[in-house]
This record gives sequence, structure tokens and C-alpha cells, in this order.
Amino acid sequence: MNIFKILIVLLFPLSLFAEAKSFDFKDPKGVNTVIFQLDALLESISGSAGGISGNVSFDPQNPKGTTGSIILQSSSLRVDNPVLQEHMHGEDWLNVSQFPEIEFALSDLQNVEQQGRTIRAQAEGKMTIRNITIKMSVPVELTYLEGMLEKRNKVAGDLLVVRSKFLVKRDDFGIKPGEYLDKVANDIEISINLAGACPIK
Amino acid sequence: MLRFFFTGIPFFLGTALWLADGARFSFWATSVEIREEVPIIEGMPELGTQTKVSWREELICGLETPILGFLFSGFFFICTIFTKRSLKNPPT
Repeated sequence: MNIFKILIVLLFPLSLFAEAKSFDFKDPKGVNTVIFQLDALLESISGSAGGISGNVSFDPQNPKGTTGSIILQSSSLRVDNPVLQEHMHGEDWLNVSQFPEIEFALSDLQNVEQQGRTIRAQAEGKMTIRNITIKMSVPVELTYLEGMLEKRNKVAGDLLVVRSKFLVKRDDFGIKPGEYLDKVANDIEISINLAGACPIK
Repeated sequence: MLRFFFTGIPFFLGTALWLADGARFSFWATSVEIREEVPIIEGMPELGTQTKVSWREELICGLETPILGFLFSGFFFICTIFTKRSLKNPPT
């Protein structure tokens, strides 16, 4: 019993040095996508974006301390109508030439609940669209798949899957606030389902 | 009577094309989004899936199609009336 206690005392400090793993969200398979939906009174707009990058630092022993950022190339946002897409990318709306990136910078996780491989939490961070940064808290579900990168990308390592569904309001980011609300809804529903890779070096 | 029927063809055709493409209350689309659930790890769907989005180039008629058809039909209808009037009152 005493030996067990001594071992705990000796090994506990080691757990404090457990290293967080850095997961890269630039998917070589090109599956990582952000889906968005706007439901206005007269028109429903939906589309997707594939230009995703960013790194998330995740420690399976301490998920609360997860930090990092997910970056979306705003020019990769796509809808089915070319004129609508041109307007969306244009100066009056997202102005992709001046603001090429949309970023969510994650500072930590709150209300962490772990069930097996899955972790549910509130991701606290800052969302930046059109150079306007707003503090946000979004629900996330993380799935840590240890040693599974090899089966996906033929490279040894771990996978981290991030899922989330949340709303952003376009008027919070100065995107034509209060205008065209009958055609372009103020609430933008965003769904993300991303897989990040941490290859073993 | 047959002439009036023919003037309605663009409108009927436009409406039929719009209905065939799903009667969407939005504008013409030149591509179609295809969403597909794929396993994160091939052959292991129990570990979760991801939505894979791809785009197929295809023209889908929007609300403009029946509206344009209606405008063309209206134009032909007006032309028919004017042709009839000019035939009734030939220039002297």
C-alpha cells in the first residue's frame, strides 16, 4: 500500500508535464467543410466552404485547456447561384479581397463532459469576421481517436474530430446590419464537422 | 384562337421547366451541392461520419424562367393583337 502511495506521489508531477498535441485541420483529403444556412422570409440561402486550416492544441488528460484556432478562407464560401456568390464575396458583404479570413480563436473549454472518446463542452473564444472580433461561446463535441490517423491518411498519429452547430448574427459583424432582412436572414446557422491530424514526428 | 394558344407557349414551357426543376422560389442555379455522409475512417463508420460536400455543374431553373416565359407570351400576345388590327385597317 505504501509503495502504491509513493508511486502516486512520484508519478503525479509527471502528469503535469503531459504534452498537449497539436492537431492540424488542413485536411489533405479535402473533406473538412463548413456548412452555412440562412433562412429569411423570402429566400433561403445555403452553401459550404472548404478552405479550412488552423491548429488546435489538445491534451486528452486536460481537455479544458484546449486552445487554438480554426481559419476559414472567406473566398472558399460557395453557393449555387453565381450572381449571389459574387455579391456575397463582394465589397458590400464579406469583402473577401480585403478580409480573406474568418477565424475562431479558441481560448479554453468550459463545462467539459466526457463520455468515452467523446467530449462535450462549451468552447470559449473569439470569432473574427470582416476584422470585427466578438467573444463567443459555442457548443462543441470533440472525439479523440488515438492512433487512428494511419487508417485515414496513411500516416502514424492521432485524430481529433470537432463538431459544432451554432448561430452568428451578421449585424454583429457589420455585414449590412438591418438591411435586406426579408431576403438575407440575420441569423447564420453554421455547422462544422472537422477532422484534425496530429502525426507522430 | 390557335394564334392565342401559340402565344402562351413560352409561358407554359417556362412554367413546365420550372416545375420539372423542383419549383424553387429562388434564382437560377448553375451548380448543385451534393452532401454525403462519409466515415471519418474508411470502413469504420462506428467512429463517426463527416459531411463531404461536392459541387456538380448543372443549370437549375429558378423563378426567372416562368417570369421570362410570361413576358415573352405577353409580348407575342400584344404583337398578335397589333397584327390583327393592322390587317383590319390596311394602309390606304
